Amino acid sequence: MKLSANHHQYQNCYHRLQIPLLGIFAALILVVVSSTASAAVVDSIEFYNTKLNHYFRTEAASEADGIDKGSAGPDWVRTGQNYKVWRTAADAPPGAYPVCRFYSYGYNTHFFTASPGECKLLKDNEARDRAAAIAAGQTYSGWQFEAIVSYALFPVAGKCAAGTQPVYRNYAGFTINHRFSTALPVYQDMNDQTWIPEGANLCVPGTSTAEVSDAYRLLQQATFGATEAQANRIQSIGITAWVDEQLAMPKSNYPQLPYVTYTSPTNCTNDNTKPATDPQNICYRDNYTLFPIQIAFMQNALGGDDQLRQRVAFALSQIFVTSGVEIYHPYGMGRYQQIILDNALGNYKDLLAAVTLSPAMGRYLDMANSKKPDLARGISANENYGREIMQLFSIGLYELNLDGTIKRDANGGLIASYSQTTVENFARIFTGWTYQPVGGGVPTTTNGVNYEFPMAVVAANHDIGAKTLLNGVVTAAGQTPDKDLSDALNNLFMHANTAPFISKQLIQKLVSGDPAPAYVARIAAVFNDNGQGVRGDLKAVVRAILLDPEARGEIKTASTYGRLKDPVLLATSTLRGLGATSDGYALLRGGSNLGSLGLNLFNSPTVFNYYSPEHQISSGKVGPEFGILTSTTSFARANFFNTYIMGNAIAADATVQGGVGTSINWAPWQAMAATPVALVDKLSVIFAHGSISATAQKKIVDAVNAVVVTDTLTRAKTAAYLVLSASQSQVEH
Amino acid sequence: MAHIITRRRLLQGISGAGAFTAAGAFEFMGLSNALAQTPPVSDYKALVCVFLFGGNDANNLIVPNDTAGYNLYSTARGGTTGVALPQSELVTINPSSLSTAFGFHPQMATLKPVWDAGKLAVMCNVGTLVEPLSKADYTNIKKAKPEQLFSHADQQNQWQASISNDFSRTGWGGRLADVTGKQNGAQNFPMVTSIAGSALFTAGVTPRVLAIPSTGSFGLSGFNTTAPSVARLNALKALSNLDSANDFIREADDVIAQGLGASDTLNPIITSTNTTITPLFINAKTGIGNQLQQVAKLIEARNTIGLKRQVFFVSIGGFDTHTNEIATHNNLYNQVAQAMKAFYDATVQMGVANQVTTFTMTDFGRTLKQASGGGSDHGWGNHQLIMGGAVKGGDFYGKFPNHTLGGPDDVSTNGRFIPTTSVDQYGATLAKWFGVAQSDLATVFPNIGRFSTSDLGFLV
Repeated sequence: MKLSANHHQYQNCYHRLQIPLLGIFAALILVVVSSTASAAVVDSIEFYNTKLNHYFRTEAASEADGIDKGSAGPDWVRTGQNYKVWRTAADAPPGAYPVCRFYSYGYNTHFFTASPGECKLLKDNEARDRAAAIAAGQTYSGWQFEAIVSYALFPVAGKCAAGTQPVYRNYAGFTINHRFSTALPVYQDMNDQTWIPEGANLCVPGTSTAEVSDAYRLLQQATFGATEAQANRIQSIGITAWVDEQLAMPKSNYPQLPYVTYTSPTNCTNDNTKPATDPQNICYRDNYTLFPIQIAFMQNALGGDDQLRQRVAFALSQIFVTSGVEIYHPYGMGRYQQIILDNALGNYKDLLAAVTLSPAMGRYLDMANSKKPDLARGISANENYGREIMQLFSIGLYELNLDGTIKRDANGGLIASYSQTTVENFARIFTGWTYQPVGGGVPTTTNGVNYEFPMAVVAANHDIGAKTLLNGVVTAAGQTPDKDLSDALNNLFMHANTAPFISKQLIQKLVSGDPAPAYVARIAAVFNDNGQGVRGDLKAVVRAILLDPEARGEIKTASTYGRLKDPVLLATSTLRGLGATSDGYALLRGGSNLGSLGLNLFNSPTVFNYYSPEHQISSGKVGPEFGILTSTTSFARANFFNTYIMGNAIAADATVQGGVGTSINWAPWQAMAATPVALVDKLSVIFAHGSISATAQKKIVDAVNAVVVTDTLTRAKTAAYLVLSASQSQVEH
Repeated sequence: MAHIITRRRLLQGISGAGAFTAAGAFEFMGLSNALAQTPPVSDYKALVCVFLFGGNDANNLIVPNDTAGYNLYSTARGGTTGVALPQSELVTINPSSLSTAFGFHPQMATLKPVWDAGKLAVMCNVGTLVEPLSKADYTNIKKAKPEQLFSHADQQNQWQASISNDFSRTGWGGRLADVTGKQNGAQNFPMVTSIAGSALFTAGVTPRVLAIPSTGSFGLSGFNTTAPSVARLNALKALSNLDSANDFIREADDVIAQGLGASDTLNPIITSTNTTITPLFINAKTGIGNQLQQVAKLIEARNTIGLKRQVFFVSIGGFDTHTNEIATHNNLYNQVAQAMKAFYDATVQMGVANQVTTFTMTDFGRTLKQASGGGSDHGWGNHQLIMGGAVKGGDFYGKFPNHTLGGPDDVSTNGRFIPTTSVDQYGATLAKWFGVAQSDLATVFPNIGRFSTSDLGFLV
């Protein structure tokens, strides 16, 4: 839903109000107000009628007093959702429009509009129809103009000017009433109660929460968790400048561990008779498990400055998957993840090439030591990499439109983007590559696993026959292995599927699981040409994804918008948002670790990642991360909050050099514990960009109030536990 | 816990909006017709799907053991320096309806007693098909063939959906529950349970699969009976019950709400140490062993849970043996055989062996010809195991493929065999035993009508 000051929207709304109302409930009789207020800004006071399910606002204190005393009937109560308005034209800034208030006897409801055209139209209709009704001897029941009740500005390009804030509007056809509010939780609430979200149509004096909300939304998309400091930074320099600042940030690194033999030496165990920090105590863990790389990832994610690069790298590591199930030497996985981090904001083609020749991928998908077909011994070239580089790393299974939707043939059938024959040709073109010898150098024969250097070729093992690739490209017989490899990668890079296939998955992993095709098309176009004729520029792609109108805005009301936080983001955003100190150890090896949440870092069960990019939720919408959300892992997520929030600080593990454990500084939250409404609201801003509905916040506040007021720690923890457990926080939207 | 409710009350419930919300998109007429036909049942039956992720190379699970057959096999696999098993290591079996001997993989010795007891059968060369297909048909563009043969994710989905000619959002285990759910009467405990996370197999039109862990507890931690704790728990439950305009938020709410609804019943069952089942799994303390032990515990507690028909899903990964196949199989087949044997023994001990049928599925078969690196590449038709007291075991079903590379059953020159039996037929045979009415069969297996029979005869 776009937010705009489009007058047409008012027209639509007005027309909707023409629906005849079948029953008339208790009439609301009001004192029509006159412009006699003296203050420059006054409260617009909201009332709610439980019997009618109607909202009403008045800017006249006298009218509000009257309603309190029952002048409009017994069922009207104040909601507390007041905001300031300019009472007169003289109070308002130049360019403000009068807000006309209408009442319909027939609908027993009020309507407010600042649109001069709409105001005039309704007045003209009244003049015409009232006369006709009187002439026919009937009572006029249509819209009657009551007064100009205040003055307001319109948003410009979707934004309210400085010093003003948007008024969001919902409409409910089932009760014929509008609700106006400046509070996002209220707007969210009404959306959830199926009141149609109509966006922000007015700007009134006050401090907007829209920019704050959008800043936190951006941080959900571009980092491992929002912090107040980064939100302030965004508000200070602006969205675009912040994204560019992040794109230029010096990058984090993984430790570059030395080569180790494939099989652990007998003296490299976890000898716990030695002191905790003795290398012999942790030899196996630090050389034959991914622990050193996992903890480096956690520490970078929790504390590194290059949040966006890391976030993109994490997304790419779930597309170009290798797994500790097979690649469990940390010196190998560390180099592999470094390739992803180095190229995350570079060119996709360079990334594809580096991944292809990485020994970790070589081993994982069996390109390493795959030799040309051996007819005598009945051995074929290994097809694993040839298949998966097409299916998963570049073009996907079916021909796609630029917008990522699947092309259909004349009979409505799917169009496979490659055949088994194509796989066999790619398998042959990838033959001959092996690990470099220990210490590095040119291989002369197939070597055993060495993850230290990129793979190199033994020309004699390469299939030099001609190969038929995609789109009719045929490589000549007798080409060098390097030329063949380059031709193969270029063939995939230039394929029309690659841009939508990769772009859509990046959108899914950063912004929304089921993006609108037009959004995918805009990003895929940037993939194909960054504006300077460069194809595959991932920095431009990421920038476009985050700055796209589909990504930006303070609130998204489409039912299909959003993505479930994956377990890593759930964990890191919790700790970052609450201001924790952590060395990352507990997240990997403590209770409630990432594995229990369904994502054992860098240990995807297969090359198909932890979840499919096409996984559908029960509504049929695509929500990849829901592929690992089950009743079991949803409990595990709640129990994660129990461990880290309700539980005590976790002491440093003795085996972690310079370990600090994991602890949250509760003092700032305890300072707010006496005012649960403010506490819950602030947590809602940080963890859900302010979109936790008013109803949900009320339930959380009630639970906080069940804790004795002096127990500020439990109060703060209760608020954090419930805000983070709420699906409204767990789903970025 | 279960109580039989009258048909009249059920129909009243169905016609009321409240009872129908959970039924979602289920077509009203279809459901009410089915209700008219099928009352709740009194006996217990369970189907247990064991999915071997990665594409099990059953060429080395079931090996020809006559001289000519073994030699053909061994040559195609590059001999015992390639990926052929030595003939001397095979566990000899003599399928009762065949005249030639076969051999199980050596690790299958564990399951040999079940075969000998006639409670284990082999389904030969079964795979994804849209319609029956010959080798000549394979190159005929007018003949429908499964989409994306040889692709892991797609073939896994097609095995689990039993639909090979388009995408499917539901699996045949879930649809099976759709049409047999009424046999559980008014009991609304989730009928499909996965101990292996979410899987397409378990997704139905109406029911949401209940996923439980293979070890540990199933519930929330950190609550007690103090007022603040109760208030926090109540708030958590209330939050998951709020309306939401967002599909993803509603989904997340529904998932935890389902867990909250089941954990009070299930947690005591799966955390119980007072069970006679556990000792049977002494040699199956593996991922797959733990999962099947969990299934056994749930079956043991069937009267507490109150369901009469249940579908279970368990899995084990690692079967994508492009390289290093011999060692990988030794490890994986050991785990599978030990776990299945322990589970079978558990069903015997509980007296429900005849009411529980366990069967395997996997992505696809693999090339008979070895791939560079001591493994095999992605294939098609494959052999599966069916185990249980109701199985007419000790025998092979279907047609064992001709092992000649490039021969009449091979669509390539590498030994990718065209299935002679479809997943649909395999599933339909299991479904019929489970209690799916003939009239509902096409709902569960939309393409079943294209095949000659929907009952392959391996169940009583």
